[in-house]
Parts: sequence; C-alpha cells; structure tokens
Amino acid sequence: MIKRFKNLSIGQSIFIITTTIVGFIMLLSLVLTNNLIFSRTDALIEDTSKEINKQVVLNYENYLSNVIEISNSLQKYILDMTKADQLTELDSLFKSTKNIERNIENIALFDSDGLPIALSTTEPLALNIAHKTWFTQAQNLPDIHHFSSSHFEDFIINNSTEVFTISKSVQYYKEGELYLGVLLIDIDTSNLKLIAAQTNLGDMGHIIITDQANELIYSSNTECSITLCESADIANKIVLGGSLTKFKGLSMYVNVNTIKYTRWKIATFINVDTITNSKNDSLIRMILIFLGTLIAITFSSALFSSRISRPMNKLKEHIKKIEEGDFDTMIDISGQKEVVVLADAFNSMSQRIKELMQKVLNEQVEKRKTQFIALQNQINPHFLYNTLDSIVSLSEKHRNKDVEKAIVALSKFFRMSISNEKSTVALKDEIEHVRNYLLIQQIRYQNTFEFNFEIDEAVLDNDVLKLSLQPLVENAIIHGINPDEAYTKILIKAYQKDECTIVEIYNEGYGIDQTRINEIHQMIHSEKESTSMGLKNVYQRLKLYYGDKADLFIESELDEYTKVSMIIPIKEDIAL
Amino acid sequence: MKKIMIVLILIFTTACSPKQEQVPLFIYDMDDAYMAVFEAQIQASLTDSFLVKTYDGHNSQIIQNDDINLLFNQKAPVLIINPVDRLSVYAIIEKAKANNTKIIFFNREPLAEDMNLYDSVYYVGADAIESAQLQAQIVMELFGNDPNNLNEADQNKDGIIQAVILKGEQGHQDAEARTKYVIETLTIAGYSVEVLEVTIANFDQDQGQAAMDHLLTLYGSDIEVVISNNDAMAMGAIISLTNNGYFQDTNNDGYIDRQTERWLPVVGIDGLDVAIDKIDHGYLYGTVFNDSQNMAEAIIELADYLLNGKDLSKMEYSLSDGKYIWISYQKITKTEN
Repeated sequence: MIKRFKNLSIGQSIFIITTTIVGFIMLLSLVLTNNLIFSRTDALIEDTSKEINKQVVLNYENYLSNVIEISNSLQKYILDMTKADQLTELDSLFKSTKNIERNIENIALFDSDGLPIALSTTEPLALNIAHKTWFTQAQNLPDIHHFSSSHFEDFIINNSTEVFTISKSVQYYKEGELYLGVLLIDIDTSNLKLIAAQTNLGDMGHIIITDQANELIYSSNTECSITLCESADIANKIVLGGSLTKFKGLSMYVNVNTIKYTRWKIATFINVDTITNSKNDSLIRMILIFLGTLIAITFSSALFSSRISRPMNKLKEHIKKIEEGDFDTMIDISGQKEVVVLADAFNSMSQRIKELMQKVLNEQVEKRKTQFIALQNQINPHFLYNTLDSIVSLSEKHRNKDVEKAIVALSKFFRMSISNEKSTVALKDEIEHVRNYLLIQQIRYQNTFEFNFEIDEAVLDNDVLKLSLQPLVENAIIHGINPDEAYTKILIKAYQKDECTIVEIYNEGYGIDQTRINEIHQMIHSEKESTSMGLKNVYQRLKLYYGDKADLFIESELDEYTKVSMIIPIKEDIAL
Repeated sequence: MKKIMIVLILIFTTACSPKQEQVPLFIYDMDDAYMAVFEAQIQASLTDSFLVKTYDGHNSQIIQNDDINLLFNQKAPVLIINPVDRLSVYAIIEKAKANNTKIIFFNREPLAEDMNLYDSVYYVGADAIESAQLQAQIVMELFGNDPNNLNEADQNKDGIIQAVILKGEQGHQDAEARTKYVIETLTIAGYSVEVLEVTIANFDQDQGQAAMDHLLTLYGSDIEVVISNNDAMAMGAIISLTNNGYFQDTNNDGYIDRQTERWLPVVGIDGLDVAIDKIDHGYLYGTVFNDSQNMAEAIIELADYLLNGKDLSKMEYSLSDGKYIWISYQKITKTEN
C-alpha cells in the first residue's frame, strides 16, 4: 500500500492530498455541526414540550383544585346545614353553586345507602346509586376525592351530558348524630376539552388523561376509545417523563405527568415532526453541500493536477527520446509558466548538446584522418631505405638477376602502396603486396627463409587495411631469422571465422616467453610513442578503422614458433 | 518536581478512592421550615457509607417528577422522596418498579394500595392519627381534663370548646387526619367541640397568619383555642394575634404572663425549635413533637440497608408490615418543661 503511494505521480499526489484533506475537513465540520445542531434541536424539543406539558398540567391542576376547593367548602356547609337541619337550604346551595360554577353539571349528597339527602336537580334519579363505582370508591377510601372517568351522567335517568364525577366521603349530621355520606359533583367534560383545545400541540397533537389503573379518562384524540387507544398504550409504557415517539408516522414528543389532587396521569402528545423533519432536511442539505463540494474539489484538483502533470509527462517522454539519442525533436509545451520555462531550457539544452556532439564527432573524425594518414606514411621510407640498401648490396655482389627481381618486386610493392588512395584493399591485393615484400626480403636475406600462403578462397575478396600485413611479416622476418640456423619458415594463413577475417602469420624460431608477449601487448595498446613501430602502427590503425572488435595479438611457444593474429571484422559500412 | 509528584499522587488517590454513592433526596418544598430542618437532620444523620443530594420540588409535583425522572434515567438505586402530591406517587412507584429502583417515602404517606404496587417501596413517618390524639390531649389539659366541667379556658362558660382549625394542605394525609382526629378524639373523650371554621393555610406560616387575621375578623373573641395542623401555621397565627392585641409583653420581660397579659391558646404540631422557644416564652401553648431526628436516622439507616443489600430484619428501626417505620410523637407544653 505504502509502496503504491510512494510511486504516485505528482498529479496523483496533488489530487489525492487535496481531495483527502478537503474531504476530511468537510466531513469533520459536517459531523460537528450536525451534532451541535442536533443536540441543540433535541434539547429544544425536549424543553419546549416539557414546558407545554407543564402548562397543560398547571391548567388542569388549577381547574381541578378549584373544584376541590368548592368540594371542601361544600363539606363544611354540609356539616353546618345538616346540623341545623336546613336541608332545603342545602338544596338551594347546591343549585346556586351549580349556577355559579358553569362547569358543574350537578351536585348531590347521598347517605351511605345511596339515598339522596340534598340535590341540585329535580330530574328523576337512577336506581342502585350505591352500586355506582364513584359511590363505592368514595366509601372504600374516605380520605380523598375520587375522580371518575368521563361518562354520561349516571345518577339521573335522563342522562344527556358527558361528565366526570368527583366523589368524596363526607360527614353530615342527622338528628344530632354524625354520619358518613357521599358527596357527588358532576363536572361537564367540556372544560377538559377546552383546556386541551387551547393548547397548540401541532397537527395530530393531543392530550390524553388516564387514571391510576391506566384506564382512559379522556382523550382529545377522537380516534381513541376506552378499550382501544394507541396513545394510552404509549403513555402507559412511558409511565412518567418524556420520550420522543412515532405516532401514526409522525414524530411526537410525549410527556407523561401526574395531575395534583387527582390520581390522574396526563400525557401530552406534541407534534415535533416539523422540527425533526427540518432536522433531517438540514442534514440532507448539509450532506448534499458536502458531496457537491467534494465533487467540485475532486474535479478541480484533477484538472489542476493534470494541467501540472501533462507537460511534465510530455517532458518525460521527451527525455526518453533524448536518452535514445534523438536530439532533433523539440518539445512544444503550453501550461504553467514554470513548466514552459523548464521546457524552453530543455530545448536549448538539447540543442546545445546536439551541437557539441556534432563538434566532438567532427573533431574526432578529423583527428583520426590525420592520424591515419600519418601512420600510413610512416611505413614507406623506413622500408624503402632498407630495401634500397639490400639492392645496393646485391649489386655490389653483382647479383644482377636478383637485383632485377628485387627492383621489379619493389616497383610492384610501391605501386600498390602509393597508387591507391583508399584505406582498405582486398585481401588478395594485400597478399600480393606481401608476396612482393617477401620476395624483396628473400633477396635481401639471401634466401635464409622460405614462405608459404594458406589463404581460404572465401576471404580473398575481404577487405583488409592497406599495408597492414607487411609490418607483421616484416616483424616475422626480423625475429624469425636466426643467424645460427640456416633456414626459417614463414607461414601466412587467412580464413573467416565469426564474421571476421582472421589473418595469422607464423614464423619458426625461438619463440617469445609470455612475459615478453605481455610487454609487447602492453606496448602496442598504449598511446605512448615507442620504438617498435610496426605492430603498434597496425594495431592502432585496426582499432581506429574497425573499432573494438578488431584485434591484434601474439602467441608463441618457446623454441617452436611465434604467431601474430590479426582479427578484422567484416563490415559493410565504412566509417571513414 | 516534588510538587508535581504530590499533585499527581493526589489526583491518583482521588481517582482511586471508592466513589461515594449519592442518594437523591427529594423534598417537596425547601421553603417549608419544617422540611428545611428535616433535610438538615437527614444530612446530619449520614454515616460514612453514602452521601445525600437534595432536590427541591418547590411544591410542584411537575418539578419533582422531572427531577425523579432524571434520577431514574441515571439508574439511581435508591430514592428518598418526600412527595409533593401523595396521590400521584403511584406513577413514581410504577416507574420505580419498571426500573428496579428502591424508594423510601417519608412525611407524606402514599395510599396503601399504591404502596402495595411494588415490594421495594418503604415509608418512614409518624402516624398522623397519633399526632392528632396527642394534640387533643393537650387541648384537654388546657380545658382542665374534665369534659363535663371545663375550666376558665372556656371563656364564654358554655361548656363547649369553640375552636378554629388551621388546616394544612387539602389532600395531605396529615392535614386530613390531624383535622379529623383531633376533633374526633375530643368528641370521643366526651368534650363538646364547636369548630367555628376550618381554614386551609397549606402548612405555611404566612398563610397561617392571613388565615388567623381573617378568623379574628369573623369570630373575634369567640375563639377559645386555635388548633393548627403544624407549628408553622401556629407561628403565623401568633404573629396575627400579636398584631391584633394579644401577646403584648407589657412588662417587657420577654415572657407572656398568662395571668396578667392577654393571650389565646394556640396548639401546633411538629415541635420546631422556634415553636419550643415560643412555648418557653408563653406564646405558644403547646405542640406535638414530631421526632424528625429519629425519623431522619431511620431514613438513613433504611437507605443504607437498601443500598448495600443488607438484611432489613436486622435494622435498629424495625419495619412493620415489611414496609413501614413508624416514629412516635411526644407532647410538649410549658407545664411539662
């Protein structure tokens, strides 16, 4: 993985780094902003709905505490009036209280058997009042006020009003004795509804009231019935406190609280869907902005990096061309200023290199030509003086036949040396040339050696350096002819091997030991001037003309022979 | 370097010392003088095993519910609650049951049916009926302990005790019980009692004072005794009476001489320090000492046992019916001091 990153191009690096950094910062800010906004929103939802719930509970508490105050006053009047046996006054007190307090539908006092003592109504009464739940509850738990669920008024027969009943066990006097009866106050449920309606709980928001047995007392949601109410189930599950819930696909903040004085629980369902939706909306919006920015950054950084890297790549291609030796093509780059400057500099640099190379090449060629000609020229006088000396001595000995032979050979020899301007000749011509030379030398050395040629037919027309064999043969004669031995053999072989013409010159003799051979090799390879001109001259010309493949070396076996081999590559094109 | 080491060690040891459990204590209203004293007594009764953090309900069940919910959410193992509305606590008990939280109620007793909703719910308190009975005994002593022959305290000599009652909060079990049983005890003992008025003053001194002002304008000198459901309202009544010509310390000795200076018997319940002081100085006739010190200790012991899962049967304050710890009241009057 790391390796892969290490091998990235500039463009890729710029692209990856820019995109990563921008993406990371964007993501970080997205998450942070989101968390901040969301936690604030959640806290806001919770606080607001708690506050609304509190307000609703307070409204109900105020309303119900008022009813309890009335009940408490009534209880005192009941004691006072029954003590004074003013039962009709108690009736009218009940009636006037009912008239003053418009929510109160009816007030009634029953004895422990459910028989009426005082009433605010003249309607006919229902039977079996003592079996009504509100009645038995009040008797079972005399300390507190009992609040029934909402129902049609049930202590009278013509029941048309929906009420909830507050019942309380109360003391009253009958003939000077204290008895326990039950006070009933029926409250019109309209006020419960009014309080619910006055509160803005949002679309589908509603209030439900349940009693201590989790039974529904009232619901502002008309879909709720006493037996089936989703809201009541939700509220009962919460028991107490607040929770964010889904209700009919809407986000609702549900707060369950108790209402003081009663044993009721109230649950407010507040629609927070818009807030949660806007929360989601803002999240989506933020994500869209994030993605948009990321895409924009990705594109622009890709564009930017390719703008930088494209000319770089062009430059790279160009360098590769130069590496291959092409200095002729110029690069044409447009783009960043720096890259253009670089490319221009590069162009002029390769132009300059090309010029310099050409110059070096020309100089080299000139130098080689001069050197070559010089080397070629060295041979002639050297040999001429020696031969002329030999002819003179022949003539002194009056060996006219030999003089004639020698002069003919010399003339042939020189014709070839001088006539041709070319640097190379066919091997057969060079062999002819050497034969003439050997003839001359045979005369000069008075037949102290004999020579033979073993030339492969195939190499006869191969090119060899002009005047390259003669110095080698000269060497063979000088080192091969032993004054003590009467006769020496010289053998010249030529054949082809591995694209090379190989010419070997053997001479019998003492041979040369390996140390001396090494010294000679060293001498001919070195650039220094030296006395042994022949071998060195040939060697350097070979190298100059044919290059590295060409070679010249000596092999020898002591007291047997010495062999000089010349390796000449066969090549079609000639550098000079 | 040494300093840094010391600081580090301190931080380390603080971090490593066992975190003391904090038991939340919910007081219905810290403005109630009695509850403020009670809260201080609970704090003072703490042993080393845990701390108590007080939450003030500001006499609103909504606020208290909110706080209790917070602690439910924090998974507090034990809650000590002095409820605002004793009738509403069934919701708290249900929630405690669902959360497996143990609850100690005190001072305001939940309905028995609510107490039975859940096993791990307890009540520490005094029997309100007992306090009413003792208060009735003080009134009996005031009137000479003979129902058929009332002493000079029966100012109009009609053989009937003309009383006004300062009642605590409506629906408060103590208020209901004290009001009901003080009269019932007197009646059963053979006294004739005429309750001129039962005025609700919500256990509050200022409301007690206002109620007394009102009662004086209504009944004036017809009132023979002021029976208050608690000392705070009794203190309010004494201020009202002082403003209306009673309890004038004419000889400036700091004491009310009942033979020479005009006074009206006021009887309270709770035995607050200020009330006992007023008894010493002859203002308040008597009170019933609600042994909040013992109650505080009982609460702390129970909380400790519940918190540490100890065997409740080994407690110093024994449980009756497995759920209740009852603390007895004591009468306090000047004659007894």
